[in-house]
Amino acid sequence: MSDQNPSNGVRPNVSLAWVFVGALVGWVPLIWHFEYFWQFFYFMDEWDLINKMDVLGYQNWVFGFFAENFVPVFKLIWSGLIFSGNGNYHFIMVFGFLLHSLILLLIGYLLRMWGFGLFTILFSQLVVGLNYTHIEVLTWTSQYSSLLAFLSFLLVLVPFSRAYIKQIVTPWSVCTVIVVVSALGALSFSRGVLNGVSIFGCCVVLWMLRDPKVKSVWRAAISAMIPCVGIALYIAIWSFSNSSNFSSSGSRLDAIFTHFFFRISLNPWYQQIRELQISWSQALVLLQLNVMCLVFGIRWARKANRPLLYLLVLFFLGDAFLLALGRNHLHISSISGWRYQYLILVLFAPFVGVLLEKFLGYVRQDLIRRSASFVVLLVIARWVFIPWGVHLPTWSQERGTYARQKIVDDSSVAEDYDISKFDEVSNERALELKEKYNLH
Amino acid sequence: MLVKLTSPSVVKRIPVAWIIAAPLAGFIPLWLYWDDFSKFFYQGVEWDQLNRIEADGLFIWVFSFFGENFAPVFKLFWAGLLFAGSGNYHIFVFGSFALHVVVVFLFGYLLRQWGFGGFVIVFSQMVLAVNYTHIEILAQSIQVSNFLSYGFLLALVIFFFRPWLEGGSYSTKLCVCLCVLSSLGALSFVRGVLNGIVVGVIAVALYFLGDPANRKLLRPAKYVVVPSIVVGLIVAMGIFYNQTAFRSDGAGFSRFLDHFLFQITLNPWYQQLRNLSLTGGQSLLLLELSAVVICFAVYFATDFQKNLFLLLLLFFLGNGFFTALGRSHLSLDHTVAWRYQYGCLIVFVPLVATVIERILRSVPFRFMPVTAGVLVIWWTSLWVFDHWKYHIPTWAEERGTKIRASTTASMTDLEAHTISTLEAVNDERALELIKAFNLRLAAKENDNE
Repeated sequence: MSDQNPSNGVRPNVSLAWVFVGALVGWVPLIWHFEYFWQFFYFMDEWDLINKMDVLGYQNWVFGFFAENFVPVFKLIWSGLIFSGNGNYHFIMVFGFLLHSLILLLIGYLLRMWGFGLFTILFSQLVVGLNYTHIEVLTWTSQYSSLLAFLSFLLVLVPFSRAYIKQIVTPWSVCTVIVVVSALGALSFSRGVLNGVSIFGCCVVLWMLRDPKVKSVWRAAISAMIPCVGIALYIAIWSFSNSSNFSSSGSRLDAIFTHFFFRISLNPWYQQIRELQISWSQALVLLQLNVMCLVFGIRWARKANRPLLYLLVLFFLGDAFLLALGRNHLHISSISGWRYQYLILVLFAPFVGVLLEKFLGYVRQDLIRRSASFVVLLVIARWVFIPWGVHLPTWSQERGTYARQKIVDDSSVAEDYDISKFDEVSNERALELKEKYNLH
Repeated sequence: MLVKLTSPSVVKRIPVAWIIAAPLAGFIPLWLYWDDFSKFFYQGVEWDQLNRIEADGLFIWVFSFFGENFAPVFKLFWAGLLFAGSGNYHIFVFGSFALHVVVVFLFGYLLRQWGFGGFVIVFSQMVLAVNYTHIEILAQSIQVSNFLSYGFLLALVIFFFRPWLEGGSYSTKLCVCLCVLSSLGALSFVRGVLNGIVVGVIAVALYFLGDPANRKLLRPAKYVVVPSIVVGLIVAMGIFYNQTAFRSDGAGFSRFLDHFLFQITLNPWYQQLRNLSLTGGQSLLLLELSAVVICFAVYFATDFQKNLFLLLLLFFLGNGFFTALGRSHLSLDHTVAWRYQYGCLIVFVPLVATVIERILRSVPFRFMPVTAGVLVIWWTSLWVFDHWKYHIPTWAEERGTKIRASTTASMTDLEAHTISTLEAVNDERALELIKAFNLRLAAKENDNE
């Protein structure tokens, strides 16, 4: 049985070249729709960030709270990009695609490391890499915080995975790196605190399942968890005393439950299947589909692959819980918003990949199976990519072209908010900031 | 092969008493909403039937085509009710409910015969008995053909497989009875030709793909297939000579395909879950749900029960095919019309019940599975029954009160089609028919209540 081989049942049998190729597809939306991406400009929250940076002073702004977010690392990187790019929005956007591509690379690398098949790896990379729902995350640089946090999660997963697969206790020097990277993730995005907690949770699950291999990963898991718990406590204390969303959550248990239920049900299929309506019955049908994917994904994956899948499930549930806690005041339709799809797709794509690979495995003839796999990948890649062309023209118009025109338009009223679309940054203030930071 | 086609040697069955109570629940909508049901009156194509009986004579009407339907058995039954009730529409309402209860009983009997447990039988009967989607076929007498056809199908399956399940033999007398049942089904409803065909196909499959000892099924199979084919040919000839909807099918293949796919993917979930969208994505999603239910049900069922599931699914596909063939000129939302749900429920409810029963059996504590089973049946019955209250008042108003009112209103334009809403029957003709069949008297009696 493969689980008893010298590499503990996990032996990558996919060339790294495929993983690199899969990572490159992340650039396709930018290259394909270059003319639209180049229209985007600073929008809403980004003006707020620049304005606060200018008003509060750099240090106060970096270490201050932004709603319930305590994200100094993100702010440092984001402002660093503004300064190093001399205010050029395209520069920050290219950095976003670089992050996207790095995440794809790490997804592929980790799946390969855990011994997943080529189809599952490429499927996951293609679905995440080309997905049209990333329009919000990739064209709005204030959303890069989630990408940074997720990148740190994947980076931490590498030594964790190595420790589990090779059955070697992580050296203290590597643990120090894990602490730092985990802290960087938690300080980039409020839900980044999930990174270490979910890794530790996975160890607890493995321990409960009496997996003997778990002994070698406790140290790495605890190293990942400590900074996250510390930062989570700091954010929680601040949020419960300052943020109305959190402080009143005890009296909104029904809303929290409803949001949690809809989050774990509607995502990710609602946005991928499209043209569905949001209702309880729809959520039940989609929940059933999710359960099927998770249960059969785990069942049909090789035993050695399963710890990674447990971890992804925990992350999915944890993310849904935190969002239900912090966003239950929003309308139910916000649950399946595009900005939430990135992480969910990364978590779900391997499960669906395993299922499809299993089905394709029933085709005995090698050439036919390979051809069918290629066609499936092509069809799915096309399906998730095509809507970019539908949404980008409107988005680039509303979030770029319009603001750029208003900046050069002498007729814009100084007290209006046409440029920033943010009620604390008037046109006059926006023009000041534009001049000061050379925003272009 | 997924379905192991073997004959059971011993079938453990629950007592018959279990299957008698649930069908009576079929009367609950009538009992609770009698005020609304009592308002229904002849509508649409029912006027056409009355007109033709009066114009062509009973004999010619019985053996003539009605749309693409060649259904003399149904017509005899319908005319029998008309004359027995002396034109009173209530007799049709009672007749429909009585047939509905009989079908639910036969449904339970069939499931009991195939060795399903108490939960599966009662759950299936209750969901079928009180389902709100039956409003169309219970409130419109012309839809009685559905009940007749489904009733004959269930009876055919029961009698066809009884000797096989009990290790008996097929006498000529039984074969003739099966032939009659198949013929009655085919002559009651246009899609009734499927009855004999699906039974025949399963019988042939049991022999060729299963046990060679099942050779004894081939003889009765001929008796049930031949009437279906003969009636099918008569219907086909009638359609191609009289109907344009079918003759132009070559040009509408994509529409037929759309209708067929929507039929087999959206049903029965779309109407049972409610508040869903009618889109391609939704149909894919519901297809996945159906596939999951079918796979699990087949996996959990015993070997010989899988044959029944296969038969029901074959019927479902055939039904979807014929409906798409005959109704592809209509808009896609017709694929989930209430009148099509009865047959779909007969197919899917036992599958769902089998899956739920298996889940309930995994409840660890001793009395919990029973308690949970009762709660599931109670909750599901309430869910499928609840919507009667929303729809029956509107339906009674549109398809009863308004028509009754128009028969008694002072007529200013006798050439109008207010009463029948049919081109062939204007108000003057409708009033003549009311007089000829004593329909007005029935309406007045109701008005005086």
